[in-house]
Parts: sequence; structure tokens; C-alpha cells
Amino acid sequence: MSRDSKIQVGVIVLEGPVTVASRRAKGMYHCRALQFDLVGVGRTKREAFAELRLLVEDYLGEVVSSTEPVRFFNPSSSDEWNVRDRKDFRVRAVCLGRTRPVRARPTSPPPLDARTLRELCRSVEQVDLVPASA
Amino acid sequence: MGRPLKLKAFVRILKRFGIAMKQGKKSTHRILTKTIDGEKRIYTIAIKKGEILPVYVDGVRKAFDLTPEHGVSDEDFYGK
Repeated sequence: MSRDSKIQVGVIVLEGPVTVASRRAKGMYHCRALQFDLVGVGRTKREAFAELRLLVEDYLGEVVSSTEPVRFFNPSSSDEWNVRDRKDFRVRAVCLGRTRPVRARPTSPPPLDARTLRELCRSVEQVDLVPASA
Repeated sequence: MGRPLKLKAFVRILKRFGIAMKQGKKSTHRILTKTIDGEKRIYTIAIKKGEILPVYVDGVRKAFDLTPEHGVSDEDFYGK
């Protein structure tokens, strides 16, 4: 095996787009990741968003630990996509896993999808939702 | 919109429909899974004061095809 084709274990960052819709319902804030239909609920928008981030982290962690095929995307209903307060983010997942050989390493983070996650990651250490414009 | 459920009642429903539940990274978070047509479905929820909020009940029903569109009425879902 040549040196370049060796797989190294280390930190890997995956990124993918996610749209978050926020709304108020019964005095609580709901922040929903529309591509996954996951919802964070809180007394404030910030609290709801923080909870959503953790729910996405659990979600991606479960995808990584699954051995069978996974349905990765579970889009919300059209009603939710039509919510006015909608913002684009990037899910940035920091994982421990098998990094690609240096020569093959891409300049931008690998895409966040079930195949890449399971191929490259052993565990999801942290997930951030970063504004898409940042 | 679904109705809020106590954790015990919710667990009973999950069992009835073959959905597995385990704790997430936070003690109040749960990871739900079920394999449907050879494909694993995953849904994550938060428990608020020992209750499952309607928004999560609706999310679970949608994620695991437990809606009237999939032949599961409210009565079937909630049971008696």
C-alpha cells in the first residue's frame, strides 16, 4: 500500500445546507430544520434554536452508528416551508473518523449526506448551525 | 395538531408500532428509530416536563408513516 492511500484517523468536518423556519405557537418558539423535519422548542427563539442544534447532533450521530441503509432526508410539509421567518444555514458536523489521504483531500468540506457520514465518520462530536452567508 | 402525551403513554404507543427509543446526548432528548421497507428512519425529540409536546407527536407520526394518509387514524394511533 502506498503512503498516499493510507487512511488516517482524525477530525473531519462535513458540511451541508439546512433551512430553519421559526414560528411561535402557544407562547413557545419552534425552530424547524426543514430538510429533516426536526424541531427545537423553547421559551425564546435562541433557546429553540439551541435545542434544534442538539437534536440534529443526535440525529447525525444515529446515522453514523447505523449499519443498515438510512433515510437521511425527511422534508417538512409544504406549510412549514412557507413559514415567513426562514433562514438558510450550514450544518457543520465535526466528526472523529477516517480522513482522506492528504493528496485526495478536497479544498472544501465533504458534503453532509448519509453515505459520506458513514463512510468517513466513527462518531459525531459536535454540530453547529452556521448562517449560510457567513 | 396532535395532543400532548405523558411519557408512559407515548412509550406504549411506540411499542405498539415497533419504534425503538433511546436517550440522546442530553437526558431529556430521545432518539427514535424504526426500519421501514429496509430503510432505517430516525427522528429525535425533546421531552418537556415529562410530556411529549404535540409538535413532536406530529413529527413522529409523519416520520414513521403513522398518519391517516398511511392508514393510521388518530384512534389507531392514540388507542383507547
